[in-house]
Amino acid sequence: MGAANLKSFKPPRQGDVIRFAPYIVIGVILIILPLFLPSHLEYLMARVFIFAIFAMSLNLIWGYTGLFTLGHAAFFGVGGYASSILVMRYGIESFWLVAPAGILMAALVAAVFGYIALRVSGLYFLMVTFALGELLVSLAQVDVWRDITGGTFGLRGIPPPNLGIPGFTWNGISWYYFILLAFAICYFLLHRIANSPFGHVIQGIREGEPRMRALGYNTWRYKYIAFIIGGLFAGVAGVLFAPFMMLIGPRHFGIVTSAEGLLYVIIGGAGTLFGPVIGAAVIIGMKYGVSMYTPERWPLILGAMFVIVVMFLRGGIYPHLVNLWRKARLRYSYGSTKD
Amino acid sequence: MKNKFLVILLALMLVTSLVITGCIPAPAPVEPVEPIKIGAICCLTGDMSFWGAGSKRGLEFGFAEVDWEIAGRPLELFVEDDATWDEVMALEAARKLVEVHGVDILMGPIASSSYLGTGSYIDVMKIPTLGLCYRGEFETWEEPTWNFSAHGAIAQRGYALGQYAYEVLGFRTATTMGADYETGYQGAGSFSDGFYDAGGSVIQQQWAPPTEIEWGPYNAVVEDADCTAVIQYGSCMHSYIKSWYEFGFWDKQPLLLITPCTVFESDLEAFGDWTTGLYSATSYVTTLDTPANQKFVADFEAMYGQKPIFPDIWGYVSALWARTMLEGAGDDITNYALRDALLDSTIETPIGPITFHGDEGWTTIPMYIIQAQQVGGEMTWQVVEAYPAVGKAKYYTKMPPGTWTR
Amino acid sequence: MEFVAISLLNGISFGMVLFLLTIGLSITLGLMGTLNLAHGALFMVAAFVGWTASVKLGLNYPLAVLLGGIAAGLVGLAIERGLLRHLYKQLNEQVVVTIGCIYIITNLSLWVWGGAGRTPFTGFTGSFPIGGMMYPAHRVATIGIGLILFFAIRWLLEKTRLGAIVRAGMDDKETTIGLGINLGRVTYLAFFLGCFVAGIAGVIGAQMLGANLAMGWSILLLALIVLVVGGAGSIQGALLGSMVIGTINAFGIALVPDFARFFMYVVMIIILMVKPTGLLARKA
Repeated sequence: MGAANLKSFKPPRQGDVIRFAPYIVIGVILIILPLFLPSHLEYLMARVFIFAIFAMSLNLIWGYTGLFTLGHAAFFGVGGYASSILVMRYGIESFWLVAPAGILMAALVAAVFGYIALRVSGLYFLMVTFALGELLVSLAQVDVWRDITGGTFGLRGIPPPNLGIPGFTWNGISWYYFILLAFAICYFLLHRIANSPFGHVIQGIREGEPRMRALGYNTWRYKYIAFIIGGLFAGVAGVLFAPFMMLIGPRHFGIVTSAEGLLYVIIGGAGTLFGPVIGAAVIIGMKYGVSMYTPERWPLILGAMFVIVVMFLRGGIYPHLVNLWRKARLRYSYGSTKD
Repeated sequence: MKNKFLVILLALMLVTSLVITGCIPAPAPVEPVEPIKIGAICCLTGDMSFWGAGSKRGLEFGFAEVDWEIAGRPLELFVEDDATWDEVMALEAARKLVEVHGVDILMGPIASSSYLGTGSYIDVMKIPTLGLCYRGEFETWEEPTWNFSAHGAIAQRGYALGQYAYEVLGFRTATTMGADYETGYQGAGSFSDGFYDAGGSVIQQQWAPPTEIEWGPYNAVVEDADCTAVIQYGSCMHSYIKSWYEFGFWDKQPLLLITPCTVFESDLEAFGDWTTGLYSATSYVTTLDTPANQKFVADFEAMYGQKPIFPDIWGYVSALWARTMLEGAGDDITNYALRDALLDSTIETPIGPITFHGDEGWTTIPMYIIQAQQVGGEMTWQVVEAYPAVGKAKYYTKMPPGTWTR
Repeated sequence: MEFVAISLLNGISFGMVLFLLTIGLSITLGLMGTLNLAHGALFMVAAFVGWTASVKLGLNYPLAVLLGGIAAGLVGLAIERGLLRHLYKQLNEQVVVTIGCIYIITNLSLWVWGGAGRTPFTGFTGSFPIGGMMYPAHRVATIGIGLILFFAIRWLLEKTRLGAIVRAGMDDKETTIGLGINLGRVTYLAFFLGCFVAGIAGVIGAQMLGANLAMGWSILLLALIVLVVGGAGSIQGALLGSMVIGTINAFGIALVPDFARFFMYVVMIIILMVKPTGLLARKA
């Protein structure tokens, strides 16, 4: 790089506009993107945002608090099923009623599951959360209450949300903005939570729980609350997913969906807020594109990508992008040097 | 620097995927004649992938027969995957085909869950959609929708087999084993219905999840009856047949396959000649003794080096339906024209004549009772009874235990 | 009571397949702290290899079993040497990498063997009567093979120097290395053996379960349940866990088919609550 030119050295300030540049740029791009996108890509982006919310919620429990869970999809499924059952079986039409109900149900289930699961830790926590998720899968498939839950196939033909706005129709663009709005709200809320004192405590718990306890924190309570919040946001994703795809099934409670969430978080970058978003975008986008070109071999390519990212991009994609951005910023701040 | 390279590589891959999928639309080449585009959602990965591969073969064979051209316009076939059980992927595949490739006709997903997942989208987009296979289920048909299942229904098979079991084979009591989803309900329900209508009684209905592999516990509680009819999913059918033999039921409680589904002749051969005598009901076997079929089998074998199996013929029938629609619509290939060309039309196939009654959504199709027999040292499916035109079937749901006695 | 006898045999024979599958998972988790989620995919590959060997190539059955085991062992070793070796104690990364391997292995198997499930009719054919019913000989043979392997592996672990090294490595890795023992090589051998036994499970299990492409996930779930119930790091634990799960499965499906899986998970959770390490985990 050559010797730094000390006279034009400008260390970046705290409130430097440049820091927010990525947010502003990305935000603007996302807002005007639908003007350029064909509708099928709008639907794809909407799906990416839904799973980005799911991945971010998982990240709060896993990346920030350090609780490795294999049953996160349970809350996703509860959110989707609860809100859809209210609409389809009990005739409650307004989205503003069923969505909070679904989210609340997800949080309640998270409270119950969290209470059970947090009695153990580590590998056993992993197994308990896995079992609880699969428990819901088996319950959803049970035939006895097939009239309500739809049995093995789940619920189909779920109507789009009734927002109560006259003249509002659901198409690619309206879904895109609706879900983008939900995503932005979730991102903002999670950002505040992650950067609040609470957020710092749970990260401290991730780094070393005994130390935090020695400092006087009731670590169990913090873990429990983090678990419930994570479950709540997973419920948000589920509440959006069910009317968007017009279907939801038992597999959406289970390990396959949970594992997808894990992949988004790890590939994108655990412990960072934006990482899982990138992970969801990359994985869903690649699956979409690759399967169009090799409809028979896409799982091979996807699996290879997981392996490559884990082996060579330790920490996920996002931290590396941040690194690149920081280096670029430093170079700018140092001023150009002849090299 | 290795990391940076890989990050850039990944970013490039993502951007390229987006670009290729149409983010930045490529300029459309000016072509003298616009091709006809047909999209197919086949399950190319996942555990029914051999079925998807067969459908694709049958489709390609059917279009190759007309040299990939109808009324002077070239045909283009786009195939997407739906990973067998993934409804989300099926819906995305339908979107890609309709919105990226702009297909005129869609060939529907195969697995029931995918089929049901794409249903609303197809109705909204009004794309004429043909099935790729006989249906395991159909919703009540209230008006012609855009999802045409012109290959017949599993219920037609089950009913025919149920009647045959009582009238010809002389069974008076039966049990059923069905997969616990739509196809199973249709199959077991229709068999029970046919058996009842003929005078018999079904004394037990067993249900197993569609991907069950361990059959011991089910065999431990099966009731004694004259026969057992089974409809199970794909490869699980094989282990079920094997367990039926090993648990000693084969001779005292003959097994009837409500649909042969994935029990191909090669599988009969691999199992051994104890499978002789196995009955099933379906619309097609390669040994069908008609000139049309003999020609079809010969041509197919010449092109692919193997005899057609069940998914191949159904893919071929789909291609025949598509050709009928396109030829009937003439120059103006709009979705309404295509649909009109399909409703109440008949095609001649190696199976025989198939008529689609569009207004009511059912198909008249020949049905055959087949039996596994050893011919010339090889296990084959042979026709033992023919029903030239089986008509409308009822819609069956899973009945709660105890209510299927009449 | 014929029903009880048959259900017990069902449960134990199915459990034996799960036992052989889970040994590998259990030992590698206890010894190396590695969770190899691709273990189910190894089972699947071995089942297909065994099918090819015994049905397509017509080789004799024990040879087919051996080939299946070796195939699983080699694939597993490749995953370990190539990938897991670099991810020591990083559970998150191990999970993602091995899930990626499931995708890869399943798709490659699709490429090689086509998409159809296979149920080989080779091996221990024939049935013998129990009460008024017949019972397949291969299921009883599976019980026998499982027991033989149980005692063989237990002997290996308890009575040989190799086994002592493995146990020492599980209990206190640093001291073992500090004593100058080449733990690395023993670890890889143990890993290979675990995958080899899983491969044997695949070929033998194919007689009752068939071989299909969904097994990468489906059989993995069962193995995880057995691992949890039985406890990591001990052979006895794997055996007990698999017997419990196999029996619940057999009786559950026969008596309350709708809720059988549900009961399995409830049992799993109860055990996790009462004894989180599993019924017979290795006490370090």
